[in-house]
Amino acid sequence: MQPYFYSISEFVAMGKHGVFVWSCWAITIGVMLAFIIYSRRQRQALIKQLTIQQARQAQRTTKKSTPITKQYD
Amino acid sequence: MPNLNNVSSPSLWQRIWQGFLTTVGTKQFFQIFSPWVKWLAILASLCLLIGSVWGLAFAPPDYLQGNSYRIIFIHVPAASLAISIYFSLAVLGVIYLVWKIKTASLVAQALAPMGFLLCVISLLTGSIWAKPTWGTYWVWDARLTSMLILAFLYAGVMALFAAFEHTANRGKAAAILSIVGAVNLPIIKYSVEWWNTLHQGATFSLTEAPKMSADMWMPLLLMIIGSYLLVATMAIYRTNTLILHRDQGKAWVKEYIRAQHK
Repeated sequence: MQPYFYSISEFVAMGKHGVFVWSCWAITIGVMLAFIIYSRRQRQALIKQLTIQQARQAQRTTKKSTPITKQYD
Repeated sequence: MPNLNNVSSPSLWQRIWQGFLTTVGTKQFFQIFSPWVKWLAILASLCLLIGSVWGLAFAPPDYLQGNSYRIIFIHVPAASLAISIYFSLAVLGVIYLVWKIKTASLVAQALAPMGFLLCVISLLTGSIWAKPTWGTYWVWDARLTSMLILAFLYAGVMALFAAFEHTANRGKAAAILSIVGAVNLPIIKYSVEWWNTLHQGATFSLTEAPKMSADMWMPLLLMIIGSYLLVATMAIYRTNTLILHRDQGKAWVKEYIRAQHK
């Protein structure tokens, strides 16, 4: 298979339509990447929040169930 | 004389139905579909990458529109998905309202922003494409207007999901709007046939051979398949985030969170 364009500059120019074609590609890739990153951050933030919650709960229960006693070595 | 055995033991159908209801539970959804995300993402990026390079660099230009037609490789998949996702929101809404399956509501909530963004992308790329082809960015024609209404419907569904997030009726209002708004879908689909419009008819149909050359429709098909796969990936991933949030008090989620840090 042959590429349709002979040179890089021709490929970028797209015969006067370069602005239209490339702006469409830029908008779409930008929006989709931003959305993917946003969704990933959302998940990571939730996991972080739940981890902290769990650690706090674990601390509370251990404090209640095992009162502090003298340590012997 | 009716068979009295049926009263005590559930029929085959009832058992299948019960099995189905348990498999679509949030925990099962999470466990079944979590491993899919990675593979679907790889497949989607492969399709989109090959489709983009093929469509941008290798496909021949259109004899009337020149190179501006290359926008089709984004515009058509985005528009097709915007419509399909809204249709799936309506179906999920019915499933949620009739059978009270929570997962359906969560999948709809995860999908709605994706559909909204794709609808906006299809409007933007369409209007950028319209400038060199029709000589104007926007006309108030049936296809464009009904597509704009679809974007507003998406925004409404998302707002309703957000508004009822912390109530017992969460997801219900959004489900109802999704179902009612589905009236717009046939209007979008047939707008190019019912009214005089600048917009062209469908590029692909299931019953006819494509009217374009293979060098044009093959990359387009790749882009369409790739974007459906991308949406599936995102739908699973985002639904699973919502499931973790909603079921955070459940034992299996706590165990999952603990396992994340080992």
